[in-house]
Amino acid sequence: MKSLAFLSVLILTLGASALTGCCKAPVEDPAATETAEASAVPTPPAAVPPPKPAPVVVYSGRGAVLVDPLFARFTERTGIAVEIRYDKSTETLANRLATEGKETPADVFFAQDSGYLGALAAKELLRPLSAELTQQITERHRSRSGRWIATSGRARVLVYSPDRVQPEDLPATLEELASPRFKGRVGWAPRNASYQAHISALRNLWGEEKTEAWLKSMQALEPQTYPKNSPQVKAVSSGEIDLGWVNHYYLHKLRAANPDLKAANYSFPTEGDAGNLMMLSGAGISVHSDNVEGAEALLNYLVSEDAQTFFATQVYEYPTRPGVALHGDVPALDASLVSVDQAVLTDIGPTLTLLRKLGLQ
Amino acid sequence: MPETPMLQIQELGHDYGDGPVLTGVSLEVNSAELVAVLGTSGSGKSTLLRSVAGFVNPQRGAIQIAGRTVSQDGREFIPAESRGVGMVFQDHALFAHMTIAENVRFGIHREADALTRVQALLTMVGLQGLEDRLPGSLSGGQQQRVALARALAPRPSLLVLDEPFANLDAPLRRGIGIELQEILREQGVSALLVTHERSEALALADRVAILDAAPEGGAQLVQVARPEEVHREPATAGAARLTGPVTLIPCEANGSTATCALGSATLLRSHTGTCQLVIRPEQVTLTPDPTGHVITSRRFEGAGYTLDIDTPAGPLLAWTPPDPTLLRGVRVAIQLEGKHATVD
Amino acid sequence: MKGLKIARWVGAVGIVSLVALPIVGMIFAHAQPPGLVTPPPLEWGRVWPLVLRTLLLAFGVAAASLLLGTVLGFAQARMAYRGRRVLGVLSILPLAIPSYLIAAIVRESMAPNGPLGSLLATESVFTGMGPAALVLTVACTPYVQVLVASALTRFPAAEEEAARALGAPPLRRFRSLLLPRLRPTFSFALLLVSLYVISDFGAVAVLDCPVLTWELYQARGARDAIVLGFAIMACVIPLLALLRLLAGSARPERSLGAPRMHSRTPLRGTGRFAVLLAHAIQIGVGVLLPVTVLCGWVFRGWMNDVSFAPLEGPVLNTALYTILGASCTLACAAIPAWLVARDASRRAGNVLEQATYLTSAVPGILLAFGVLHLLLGLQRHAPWTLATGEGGWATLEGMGVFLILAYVMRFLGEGYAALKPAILGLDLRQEESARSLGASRWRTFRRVTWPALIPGVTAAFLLLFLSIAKELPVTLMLTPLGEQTLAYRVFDAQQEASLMDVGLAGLLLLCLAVGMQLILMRWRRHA
Repeated sequence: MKSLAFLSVLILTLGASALTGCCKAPVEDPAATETAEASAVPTPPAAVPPPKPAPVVVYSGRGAVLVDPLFARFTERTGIAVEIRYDKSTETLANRLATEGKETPADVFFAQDSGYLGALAAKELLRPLSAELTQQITERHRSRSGRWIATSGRARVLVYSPDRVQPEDLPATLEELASPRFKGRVGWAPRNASYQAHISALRNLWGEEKTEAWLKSMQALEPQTYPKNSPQVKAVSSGEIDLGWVNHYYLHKLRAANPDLKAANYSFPTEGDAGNLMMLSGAGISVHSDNVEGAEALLNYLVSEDAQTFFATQVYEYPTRPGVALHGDVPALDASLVSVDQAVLTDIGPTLTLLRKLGLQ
Repeated sequence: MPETPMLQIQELGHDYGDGPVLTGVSLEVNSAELVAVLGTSGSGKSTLLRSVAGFVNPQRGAIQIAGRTVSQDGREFIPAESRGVGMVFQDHALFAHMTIAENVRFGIHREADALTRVQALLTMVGLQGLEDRLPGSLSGGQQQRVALARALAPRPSLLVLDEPFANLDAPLRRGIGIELQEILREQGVSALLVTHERSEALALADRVAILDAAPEGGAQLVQVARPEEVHREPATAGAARLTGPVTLIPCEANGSTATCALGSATLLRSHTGTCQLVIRPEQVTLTPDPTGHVITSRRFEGAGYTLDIDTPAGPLLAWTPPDPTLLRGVRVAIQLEGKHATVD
Repeated sequence: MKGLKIARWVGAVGIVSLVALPIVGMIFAHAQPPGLVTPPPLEWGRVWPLVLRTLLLAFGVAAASLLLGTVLGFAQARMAYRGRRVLGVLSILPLAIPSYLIAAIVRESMAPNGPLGSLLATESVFTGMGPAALVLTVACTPYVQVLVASALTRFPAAEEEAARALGAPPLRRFRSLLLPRLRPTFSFALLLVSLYVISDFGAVAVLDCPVLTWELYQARGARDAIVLGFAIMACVIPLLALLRLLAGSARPERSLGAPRMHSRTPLRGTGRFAVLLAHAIQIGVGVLLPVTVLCGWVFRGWMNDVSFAPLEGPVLNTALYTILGASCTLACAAIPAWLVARDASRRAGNVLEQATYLTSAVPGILLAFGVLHLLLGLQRHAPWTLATGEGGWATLEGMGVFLILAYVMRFLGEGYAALKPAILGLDLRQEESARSLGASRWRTFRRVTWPALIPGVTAAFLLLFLSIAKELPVTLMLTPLGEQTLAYRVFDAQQEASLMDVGLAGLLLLCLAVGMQLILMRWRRHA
C-alpha cells in the first residue's frame, strides 16, 4: 500500500522536476564568481536557431548573467547557436575538460581566470590560434603559447573612503600599504580567488621571502577579514574600514545599484608597481573540438568591437582590443600595470601553503 | 484546666475561580484526638486539608496549630515546610528513587538518633527488614505503612491524612485503619482525616465532621459529633445520607410522634411541624401482606438482605435478616421501629 | 501478501542503505584523478586544532544552553509570574529561526557601524568562536527548555508536597528530589546539543568560525574533504553511541501515583532576576533583534532606493524543492515506519530503526559533499547521454534530483520519528472490524486507516517542510546551478554584504518558519 503511494509520489516528483527543468525560474548569477552583474542589459530579440551551422558548446567559468546576453548577441549576428555549461569555478571546469579528453563535448573554454587557460595550454589541450585572431588584441596581453586569447581584464585596486583618507596619505606602492599608519583601517579577503592570484603574482615578482615578510607586516595592521570583495566596498562606504584590497569593478557595480556609495578606487601611481595587477579573462578552443569553425567565429566575436564595448560599458572591465573606449568612470591603467605571466596567477599551491602557514587560511 | 486544642480552625473560607469552595468552617481537634471529615467527592475536603497542611492559603478565616497562628485571612501565612504538620497522601507519594529507610529518614533533621528512630518506626508499622527495598517493589498496603512511618518521623504534633486508604482493598483497609488508630494513640498524635468513605470515618474517628453543600455555594460543616451521634441523629438531610443508607420521607411531627405516608413513628426528640423523617433500613420491619407494598429489588449482603420497597412516599430501603419469604415481587406491610430522628 | 511483505522489507533495506551512497561518493572522491592545479594537502597539524575547537564550541554551547534552558524550563513548569505563557512561547521561537539567519543578523548589527555595534562601540567585526557560541546557545536553549519543562511536569506533584510536609526547604527539594531524576534529561540534552553544534554549518560559516564544518566547505581538493569528513565523524560517532546507550538504558518513569497539577510558586528576588534575564537573552537575541534588524534593512534599502535582487526565483525554488523534498522524504520514511510499527519483530524493528536514524546522523555538509562527489564520480565512470545529446547525470542534477536525494537522506530520520507514533496510534480494532465486515485490505486502508493517519502525516509533512526550507549546506552544494532558494539567497547575500537582500529573503524565511512552527504547536495542543 505504502509502496504504491511511494511510487506514485516518486513519479509525480520526477514529472514535476521535468516540468521545471523546461521552464526554469529566472536564472540569476549569485555573484559567486567574480563577475559583475550586468544591470538592465538590453536583450536582443530572440535568436532564430539556424538549421545549418552546428552549435558551439562552451564551458564557461564566467556567470550566466554576463554570458547569456553576450552570446545571444553572437547568435543573432552569426546565426550560430551556443550551448553553455556553467560552473561556479573555472578550476572545476578546467579539470573536467582535462579529464574528459576526447569525449569532451566542449568546443570553447571561456575562463574567468586565464591562469587555467595557461595550464590547459601547457598540456596542449587547447588549439593554437591563428595570428589573425590573436593580433586583434593589445600586444602586452597576448598569450605566449598562442593557444588562448584574452578577452577582458580586471584590475586589482585599493578602494578607499575619500572622507577619511587624504590623497597624500595613500600609499605610493603596494609595499607601502603595510605601514603602521594604516593600522586598524584596512580590510582584505584572503579566501578570495583574486586575492590568492595576486599573492601568487607577488611571490613571482618579489620572491617568497619578501612576500612572506610583507604579509606579516600586513597582519600587524590587524586587517578586517571579509569573505569576498563586495563587503569590503560596502564596509569602506559605511565606515567600518578605510581601505580595502579589491577588484576595480565592484565599486562601479555597487554604485550602479546605490548611487550614494561613498568610496573611490585607487591604483598605485608608481609605474609597474606590483600592486597594479591586471587579471585577464579569456577563451580558447579545445583541441578535441568538432566545430572549430564555429568556435573560431565565437572567439572572433569576443574580441570584436561589439563585444569589447559590451565588456567595457556593461561590466566595467578593461577591453583587450586597442581603441575601444572605457566606461566613463573607469580610468586608463596601461602605463602603470605590472608585467607578469598570467600563468603564475594559478600557481596557488605554494600560495595556499604560505597563507596557511601564516594562519590566513 | 482545659488544654489548648492542637488544631483550631475559625470561619475558614476559600474560593476558586468559579466560586466558593468552603464557607465558614470552624473546627477543633484536641490533643491525641482523631477527627474525620466526611463529605462527598469534590466537596472541598481536600481544600480544607491542604489549608491545614499549608499548601493552600485560605482567603478567609484563621488556623492555629498548637496555639500558633499559621494563617489568617490570607495573610500571616506559614508555608507547609515550616508548619510541622505531618501529611499522609492518598497515593502515599513515596520518593521513588530512594530506599524505604531513606524515605523515612528524610524528615528527621537531627543526625544523632536518626538510624535508631528509623528502625523503631519501621518496626512500629511492621516493616522491619525492608529498609533497603525500593518503594516500587512493595505492595499497596506496605507502601501506605511506609508513608505513615515517614510522616511520623519528624514527631509532628498534628497529622493530616488525605483519604489514606482509598487505594487499598477492603480487608486491608480495615486492618490498617485499626493499626493507625493504635499508633496514633500510642504516639499521642492528633489527626485530621479526610474521607468520603463513611465506614472509615465512623469506625476510626473520635469525632466526625460532616461537610455538606452550603446554600450560597461551596461547603460548610453541618455537624461535628461522635460517630454514634452523627449516625443516630444527623443534623441535615445531607448528613443523614453521608452517614449511612437512609430513606427520608416527609412527615408531620407533633411532639413525640410523627405521621407519614407509611404510618406513625416515635421520635428521638420532641418536635413539631413539617419535616423529614430519617428512616434507617434496620428500623423497618416487614411482614408479608398481600395488600401491602411491592418489593422491587433484593440484594444479598452476607448478614442479610437490603430490599427496595415501592411505597406511595417513594422508594424505601429496608434491611432484613435472611428470610426465604421476602422475595422480589412479594407484597409486604411496613412497620417503623425504634426512635427516629428528623431533619428539615 | 507474502510478496507484499517481502517487497516492503526490500524497500526498507533499500531506503536505509541510502547511507551507503555518500560513502560511495567519498570513495569516488578519493579515486579522483589529479586536476590541472594541485592544491597543497591539509597537514595533520592543522586538523587537530580544528577538532579541538569544534569540540570546545560544542561542549561550551551545550553547557551554556543547559544552564539557560534549565532556568527557563524550571520557571515555565514550576513558577508563576506575569506573562509566563507568552514569554514561554516567545522563548521557544528561536528554534524555528535558522541559525545562520540569527548569525547574520548578530554579526551585522554588532559590526562597528551596526545598530548595536555603534551603541556598544565595538571595534572590530563580530566573528569567531565567541559570537558563534552566543548564536548557537540562543538557537539550542529552547530545545533544552522544552525538555526540562516536560520532565518537570511529569514529576509527581505528590512527592514534592510530601517533601514539603516533611519540612524540606526548596533547595533541599531540588537537590534530593528533582536533580537525581533530571540527570537523564540533562545528559540527553547535553549530547543532543553537542551533536547539533558539531553538525552546524550555517552559523559557523556566517561568523567565520574556524571549525570542521566550515573548513570542509572550503576544502580545496578531495583529500582534504575526506580527512575533514573523517574528523567530523570521529567527533559525531562517539556522541551518537552515547546517545543510543542513554536512550536504551532509560527506564520508564516510575511515578508511583496519579499525576496531578503542580502548584506554582511565585517568582521573587534573585530567582526572578535570573529568569527574566534568561528570557531577555532568548527573546532579545532570538526574536526581537532578528525581526527589527531585518525590517530595518529592508526599510533602509527601500528608503535609499537600493535595487534588490529579484525574489521570485528563490521563492518559487524554495516552494518547489521543499514540497518535493518533504513528499519524497515522507514517502521513503513511511516504509520503515510502517514496518517497525506494525510488521517487524522486536529485534528486526530495532535494527531497522537504528539504521534509519543513522542515515540522518551524518552532518549536512558531509552528506552534501558525499552526494556531490557521487555525482562527479558517476559522470566520470558511468556516463550516459540523453537523446538530446546532453549528459544524463547532468540533466538529473539540473532537475534537482540529487538535491532531493540528499534531502531524503538528511531528513529520513526526522520523517520516521514523526510518522512512527502516528502509525502506532492507530486503533487496530477499527481495521479488524472493517475487515470482519468484508472490506478488502485496500478498501480498509483507504476508508479506515488513511483517514486516521492524515493528521499525523500532515504534521510530519509540515515538520519536514520547515526543516528543508531552513536547511543550508545541502542546499548550497546541490541546488542546480543558477538557481537559488531563500536559504541560499540569505547566505549568499550575507557573504556579499547585500543587507537589503538578506533582509527581504530573511523576513520571508522567518515568517515561513515561525508561521509553520506556531501551526505545529497549535496542532499538537489540539491533538
